[in-house]
Amino acid sequence: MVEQVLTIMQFGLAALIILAMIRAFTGPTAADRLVAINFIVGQVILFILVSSPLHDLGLYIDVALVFVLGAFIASIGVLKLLEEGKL
Amino acid sequence: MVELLREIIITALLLGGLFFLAVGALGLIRLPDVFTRMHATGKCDTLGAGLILAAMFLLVPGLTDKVKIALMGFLIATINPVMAHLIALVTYNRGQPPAKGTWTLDYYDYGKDNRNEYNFEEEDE
Repeated sequence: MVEQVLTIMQFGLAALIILAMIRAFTGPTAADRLVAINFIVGQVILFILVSSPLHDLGLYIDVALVFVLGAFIASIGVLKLLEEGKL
Repeated sequence: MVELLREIIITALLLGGLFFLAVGALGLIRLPDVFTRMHATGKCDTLGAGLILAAMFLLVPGLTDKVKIALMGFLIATINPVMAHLIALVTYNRGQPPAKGTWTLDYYDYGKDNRNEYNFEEEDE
Protein backbone atom coordinates (compact mmCIF):
# COMPACT_ATOMS: atom_id res chain seq x y z
CA MET A 1 0.00 0.00 0.00
CA VAL A 2 2.81 2.41 0.84
CA GLU A 3 4.54 1.92 -2.52
CA GLN A 4 1.46 3.00 -4.49
CA VAL A 5 1.14 6.07 -2.26
CA LEU A 6 4.80 6.92 -2.84
CA THR A 7 4.26 6.68 -6.61
CA ILE A 8 1.25 9.01 -6.28
CA MET A 9 3.45 11.38 -4.28
CA GLN A 10 6.03 11.43 -7.08
CA PHE A 11 3.39 12.36 -9.67
CA GLY A 12 1.86 14.98 -7.37
CA LEU A 13 5.21 16.62 -6.59
CA ALA A 14 6.06 16.72 -10.32
CA ALA A 15 2.71 18.42 -11.02
CA LEU A 16 3.40 21.00 -8.28
CA ILE A 17 6.85 21.70 -9.75
CA ILE A 18 5.23 22.36 -13.14
CA LEU A 19 2.63 24.68 -11.55
CA ALA A 20 5.34 26.66 -9.75
CA MET A 21 7.34 26.78 -13.00
CA ILE A 22 4.48 28.78 -14.55
CA ARG A 23 4.95 31.48 -11.90
CA ALA A 24 8.73 31.34 -12.34
CA PHE A 25 8.35 32.00 -16.07
CA THR A 26 5.61 34.65 -15.97
CA GLY A 27 6.47 36.42 -12.71
CA PRO A 28 6.27 40.20 -13.15
CA THR A 29 9.23 41.00 -10.93
CA ALA A 30 12.43 39.28 -9.87
CA ALA A 31 11.11 38.63 -6.36
CA ASP A 32 8.20 36.57 -7.76
CA ARG A 33 10.62 34.36 -9.63
CA LEU A 34 12.76 34.03 -6.50
CA VAL A 35 9.77 32.91 -4.39
CA ALA A 36 8.76 30.37 -7.06
CA ILE A 37 12.30 29.01 -7.32
CA ASN A 38 12.51 28.61 -3.54
CA PHE A 39 9.26 26.61 -3.68
CA ILE A 40 10.65 24.43 -6.49
CA VAL A 41 13.81 23.73 -4.47
CA GLY A 42 11.71 22.43 -1.57
CA GLN A 43 9.71 20.18 -3.90
CA VAL A 44 12.88 18.74 -5.46
CA ILE A 45 14.24 17.89 -1.99
CA LEU A 46 11.00 16.05 -1.14
CA PHE A 47 11.01 14.30 -4.55
CA ILE A 48 14.51 12.90 -3.97
CA LEU A 49 13.50 11.84 -0.45
CA VAL A 50 10.31 10.09 -1.61
CA SER A 51 12.21 8.20 -4.34
CA SER A 52 14.50 6.61 -1.76
CA PRO A 53 12.26 3.72 -0.53
CA LEU A 54 10.94 3.06 -4.04
CA HIS A 55 14.40 2.27 -5.39
CA ASP A 56 15.73 0.72 -2.14
CA LEU A 57 18.62 3.17 -2.10
CA GLY A 58 19.45 4.77 1.24
CA LEU A 59 22.02 6.95 -0.55
CA TYR A 60 19.21 9.22 -1.77
CA ILE A 61 18.73 10.47 1.79
CA ASP A 62 22.33 11.69 1.83
CA VAL A 63 21.76 13.36 -1.54
CA ALA A 64 18.68 15.17 -0.17
CA LEU A 65 20.58 16.29 2.96
CA VAL A 66 23.41 17.79 0.88
CA PHE A 67 20.80 19.43 -1.37
CA VAL A 68 19.17 21.07 1.67
CA LEU A 69 22.55 22.40 2.81
CA GLY A 70 23.53 23.84 -0.54
CA ALA A 71 20.33 24.89 -2.25
CA PHE A 72 19.62 28.15 -0.47
CA ILE A 73 23.04 29.75 -1.11
CA ALA A 74 22.00 30.75 -4.64
CA SER A 75 18.89 32.51 -3.34
CA ILE A 76 20.98 34.48 -0.83
CA GLY A 77 23.35 35.47 -3.64
CA VAL A 78 20.49 36.71 -5.82
CA LEU A 79 19.08 38.69 -2.86
CA LYS A 80 22.44 40.36 -2.25
CA LEU A 81 22.65 41.19 -5.96
CA LEU A 82 19.15 42.73 -5.83
CA GLU A 83 19.89 44.84 -2.79
CA GLU A 84 23.42 46.09 -3.46
CA GLY A 85 23.70 45.94 -7.23
CA LYS A 86 26.84 43.83 -7.15
CA LEU A 87 28.03 40.60 -5.59
CA MET B 1 -2.19 -5.20 13.25
CA VAL B 2 0.60 -2.86 14.31
CA GLU B 3 2.01 -3.05 10.78
CA LEU B 4 -1.34 -2.06 9.25
CA LEU B 5 -1.71 0.84 11.68
CA ARG B 6 1.80 2.06 10.80
CA GLU B 7 1.00 1.93 7.09
CA ILE B 8 -2.23 3.87 7.61
CA ILE B 9 -0.43 6.57 9.61
CA ILE B 10 2.31 6.87 6.95
CA THR B 11 -0.28 7.15 4.16
CA ALA B 12 -2.25 9.82 6.01
CA LEU B 13 0.91 11.87 6.67
CA LEU B 14 2.07 11.64 3.05
CA LEU B 15 -1.28 12.63 1.56
CA GLY B 16 -1.75 15.43 4.11
CA GLY B 17 1.66 16.84 3.20
CA LEU B 18 0.78 16.70 -0.50
CA PHE B 19 -2.49 18.54 0.25
CA PHE B 20 -0.71 21.39 2.05
CA LEU B 21 1.89 21.66 -0.70
CA ALA B 22 -0.91 21.87 -3.27
CA VAL B 23 -2.51 24.70 -1.26
CA GLY B 24 0.83 26.52 -1.30
CA ALA B 25 1.19 26.11 -5.07
CA LEU B 26 -2.39 27.36 -5.57
CA GLY B 27 -1.60 30.45 -3.49
CA LEU B 28 1.61 30.97 -5.46
CA ILE B 29 -0.36 31.10 -8.69
CA ARG B 30 -3.58 32.86 -7.65
CA LEU B 31 -2.53 35.61 -5.23
CA PRO B 32 -1.88 39.12 -6.61
CA ASP B 33 1.31 40.25 -4.91
CA VAL B 34 4.84 39.24 -3.93
CA PHE B 35 4.11 39.58 -0.22
CA THR B 36 0.92 37.53 -0.35
CA ARG B 37 2.60 34.86 -2.48
CA MET B 38 5.33 34.64 0.12
CA HIS B 39 2.67 34.36 2.80
CA ALA B 40 1.24 31.33 0.97
CA THR B 41 4.46 29.46 0.23
CA GLY B 42 6.41 30.29 3.37
CA LYS B 43 3.92 28.56 5.63
CA CYS B 44 2.42 25.81 3.48
CA ASP B 45 5.82 24.69 2.23
CA THR B 46 7.20 24.34 5.75
CA LEU B 47 4.16 22.46 7.05
CA GLY B 48 3.89 20.10 4.05
CA ALA B 49 7.60 19.34 4.10
CA GLY B 50 7.36 18.67 7.83
CA LEU B 51 4.50 16.19 7.39
CA ILE B 52 6.26 14.32 4.55
CA LEU B 53 9.48 14.22 6.57
CA ALA B 54 7.55 12.76 9.54
CA ALA B 55 6.16 10.05 7.25
CA MET B 56 9.64 9.25 5.94
CA PHE B 57 10.92 9.17 9.53
CA LEU B 58 8.41 6.40 10.26
CA LEU B 59 9.10 4.62 6.96
CA VAL B 60 12.88 4.22 6.77
CA PRO B 61 14.59 1.46 8.73
CA GLY B 62 17.72 2.08 10.74
CA LEU B 63 18.72 4.71 13.25
CA THR B 64 21.21 6.52 10.98
CA ASP B 65 18.64 7.37 8.31
CA LYS B 66 16.17 8.48 10.98
CA VAL B 67 18.73 10.89 12.44
CA LYS B 68 19.52 12.27 8.98
CA ILE B 69 15.83 12.88 8.27
CA ALA B 70 15.35 14.58 11.64
CA LEU B 71 18.33 16.84 10.89
CA MET B 72 16.82 17.63 7.49
CA GLY B 73 13.53 18.58 9.11
CA PHE B 74 15.31 20.90 11.56
CA LEU B 75 17.22 22.58 8.72
CA ILE B 76 14.10 23.08 6.55
CA ALA B 77 12.10 24.43 9.51
CA THR B 78 14.81 27.02 10.20
CA ILE B 79 15.95 27.98 6.68
CA ASN B 80 12.52 28.32 5.00
CA PRO B 81 11.04 31.09 7.21
CA VAL B 82 14.37 32.93 7.26
CA MET B 83 14.45 32.92 3.45
CA ALA B 84 10.85 34.18 3.26
CA HIS B 85 11.70 36.98 5.71
CA LEU B 86 14.82 37.94 3.73
CA ILE B 87 12.92 38.09 0.41
CA ALA B 88 10.21 40.26 2.01
CA LEU B 89 12.84 42.58 3.56
CA VAL B 90 14.78 43.07 0.33
CA THR B 91 11.58 43.57 -1.69
CA TYR B 92 10.29 46.17 0.79
CA ASN B 93 13.63 47.98 0.90
CA ARG B 94 13.74 48.24 -2.89
CA GLY B 95 10.43 50.14 -2.77
CA GLN B 96 8.38 47.71 -4.79
CA PRO B 97 4.69 48.66 -4.30
CA PRO B 98 2.15 46.10 -3.03
CA ALA B 99 -1.06 45.27 -4.86
CA LYS B 100 -3.81 47.83 -5.37
CA GLY B 101 -6.10 48.20 -2.39
CA THR B 102 -3.45 47.60 0.28
CA TRP B 103 -3.92 49.69 3.39
CA THR B 104 -2.15 49.79 6.74
CA LEU B 105 -3.85 50.25 10.09
CA ASP B 106 -2.25 52.51 12.68
CA TYR B 107 -3.05 51.33 16.19
CA TYR B 108 -1.70 54.47 17.88
CA ASP B 109 -5.07 56.24 17.98
CA TYR B 110 -7.25 53.22 18.38
CA GLY B 111 -10.94 53.76 17.78
CA LYS B 112 -10.68 56.47 15.17
CA ASP B 113 -11.02 55.81 11.48
CA ASN B 114 -7.33 55.87 10.69
CA ARG B 115 -6.78 53.52 7.81
CA ASN B 116 -3.83 54.75 5.80
CA GLU B 117 -4.11 54.03 2.09
CA TYR B 118 -0.76 52.96 0.71
CA ASN B 119 0.74 55.89 -1.16
CA PHE B 120 1.58 54.64 -4.62
CA GLU B 121 2.74 58.01 -5.94
CA GLU B 122 5.52 58.38 -3.41
CA GLU B 123 7.26 55.22 -4.47
CA ASP B 124 7.62 56.24 -8.10
CA GLU B 125 9.92 59.20 -7.41
